[in-house]
Amino acid sequence: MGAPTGEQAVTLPVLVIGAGLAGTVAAARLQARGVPVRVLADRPGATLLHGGGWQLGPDALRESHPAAEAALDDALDFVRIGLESLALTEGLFDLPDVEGARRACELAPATHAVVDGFGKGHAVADLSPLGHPFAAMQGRGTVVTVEWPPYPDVFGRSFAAMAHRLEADPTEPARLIEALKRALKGTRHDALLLPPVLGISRTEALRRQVAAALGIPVGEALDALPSTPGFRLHAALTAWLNAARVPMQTARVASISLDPLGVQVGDLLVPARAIVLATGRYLTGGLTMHPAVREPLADLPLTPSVPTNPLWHARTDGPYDGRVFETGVGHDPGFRALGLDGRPVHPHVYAVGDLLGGGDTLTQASASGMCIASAWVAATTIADGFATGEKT
Amino acid sequence: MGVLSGPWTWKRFRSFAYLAIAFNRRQARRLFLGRKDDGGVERFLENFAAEGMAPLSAGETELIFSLSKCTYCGICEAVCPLPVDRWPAFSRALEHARFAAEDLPPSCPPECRQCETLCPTGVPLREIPAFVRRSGAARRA
Ligand SMILES: Cc1cc2nc3c(=O)[nH]c(=O)nc-3n(C[C@H](O)[C@H](O)[C@H](O)COP(=O)(O)OP(=O)(O)OC[C@H]3O[C@@H](n4cnc5c(N)ncnc54)[C@H](O)[C@@H]3O)c2cc1C
Ligand code: SF4
Ligand code: SF4
Repeated sequence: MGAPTGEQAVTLPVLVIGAGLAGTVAAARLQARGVPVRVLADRPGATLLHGGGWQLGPDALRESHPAAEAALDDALDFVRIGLESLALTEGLFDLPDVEGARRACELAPATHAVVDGFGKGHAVADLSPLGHPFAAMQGRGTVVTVEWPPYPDVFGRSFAAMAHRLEADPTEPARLIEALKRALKGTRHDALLLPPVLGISRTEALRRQVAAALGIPVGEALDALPSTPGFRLHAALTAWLNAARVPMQTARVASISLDPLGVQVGDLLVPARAIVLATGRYLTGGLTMHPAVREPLADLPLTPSVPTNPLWHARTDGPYDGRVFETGVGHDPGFRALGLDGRPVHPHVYAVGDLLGGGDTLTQASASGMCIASAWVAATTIADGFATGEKT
Repeated sequence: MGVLSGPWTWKRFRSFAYLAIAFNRRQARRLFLGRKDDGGVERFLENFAAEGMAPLSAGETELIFSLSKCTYCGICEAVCPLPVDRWPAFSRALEHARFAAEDLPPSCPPECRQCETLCPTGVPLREIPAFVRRSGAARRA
C-alpha cells in the first residue's frame, strides 16, 4: 500500500498523534530506539485527569488485550526509568508513605495505599475551607483543623489549586508550615497526612521540607477532581518529552491519509513513515459520539470489546448502551489498527491507549497499564521494522 | 418513520388534518397574497424572550455546543490566577447566564491562555464571559 518508498521513507518521521500517557510513551520509546519521531497534539487529554491510583495490575481489560499484558513489565520498567531519571518526578508512580518509602500503587484504591502505612496515632490535616482527604472518613487518625490557605477566594478552590500555589509562590511553603505548627501545637502525633497539596513538580522536595520542619513524617492522600496527581503526571510526561528532545507541535489533526501516508493539518498533508494514533476517547475526540460513534481521523471500524468482569456490566445497565463506552479500535499483536476485513488498514498505522477501548466505562478510559503497554509494543514493532530495514 | 408509525386513532387523525390545513393555508397566503411573514417570530419572542429563548446566530449555536463539552473536571478553575468563584459551571448553565454576567471575571490578562490550553475537552473558555454578557444583556433588555 501507499507507504513512501526508498530514501524518502527512511528520512520521514513517525508521527504520533496525541500527547497523553500513550502518545508520550510511544514517542519516548521511538526516540530511545533512534527512530525519527514527531508528536502532534492539541491539548492534554484524560491523562490530566488521572486519579493517581495506578491501574497496572491484571484486571478485566487485560483479557481483551493479551499483547499488552505480555509486554507490561518491560514497558513499565521503561517508563519508570524514563520518568525517574528526571529528578522532578520522584515518587510519581508510588505514593510516598510516612517513612518516605515508596508504596507501589498497583491496582491501589488510591488513599488506602497511603493510609495503610500509618499507625493509628497520626493527624489528618483539615484544610479549611476544603476539608480533609478521604482518609479522615475512614476513621483513622485525628482530624486537626489547619488555618491555611489564607486566601480562600483565590486558591481555596481545590487541593490542586493549592498545590499550584504552593509551588508557584516561594513564600507559601513557610506559611503552610507555620499554620501546621499552630494546628499541631500541644498535641502528639506519629505522623501527618495531608491532602494532595504538595506542589506539582517539586512534590518530594516540599514533602521533605514540611516533614523536617514538623519533626514527624508527612504523607499525602489522594482526592477527587481536579486531580493533583493528574497535573503531576502531565507535567512529568511533558518534561520527559522535552528532556528526550522529541519535537512537539500543537496542532489539531483533521484526518489521516493512507495513500500517500500522512496526516492532514489544516491545508497541509504532513507525510509520515508511520502513524501512531494515540488520540484518546470521547473526552479528546479520539472517538466521537455525535453525530455517530466513530473514529473520526481514519474512520476505523470499532469493536465492542465487552470485558468479562461482571462489575463492568453492572455499571453499564441503564439508559446508556455500555458498549458505547467500551468500544474502541481493533488491533493486531503489534498494535496496528485493524480495518473492516480484520486485517491492518495499513502496515504502518498503529492505535494505542484509550482509543483501543475496554477498561473503565465510568472514566471512559483504558487505564494506565494498558496505555503504557500498547504504546510500548507499537513503538517496538515500528523500531524493529526500522532496524531490519523493512520495506513495503 | 417515527412520526407516522403507531395506531391511527381518531385524535391522531384529527391532529394531522389540522396540521395539513394550517400548512396549506400558509402556503396559499404566501403564494397568492405575497405574505412572507405573519409575525410568528415576534410573537414567539414576546412570549419567551424573557425566559432566555432568544434567537442565536450560527456562530453562537456552535459556541454553545462546544461549551456543552464541559465535564466539570475543574482544571480551568485550578489554574486560573484570577479571584473567580466556580466559573466553569457557567459553561453549561446557559439559563443562568443572566446571573452569571455579574459574577464573571472582569477581564483576563491578554497573554493568559492557561485554562483554554489545559481544558481536556477543548471548551473555548475565554469566550464565555463575552458571550454571557452579550446574552445576559439581551435578556435583561
Ligand atoms: C477522570 C479520570 C480518572 C482516571 N483515573 C485513573 C487512575 O486513577 N488510574 C489509572 O490507571 N487510570 C486512570 N484514568 C485513565 C487514564 O487517565 C487514561 O487511560 C490515560 O490517561 C489515557 O491516555 P491516552 O494517551 O490514551 O489518552 P489521552 O490522555 O486522552 O490523550 C489523547 C491525546 O490525543 C490528542 N488528540 C486527540 N485527537 C486529536 C487530533 N485530532 N489532533 C491532535 N491531537 C489529538 C489530545 O489532544 C491528547 O493529547 C482516569 C481517566 C479519567 C478520565
Ligand atoms: S477544564 Fe474544561 S472540561 Fe474541565 S471544568 Fe473547565 S471547561 Fe469544563
Ligand atoms: S485566560 Fe482568563 S479565565 Fe483563563 S486562566 Fe487565564 S485569567 Fe483565568
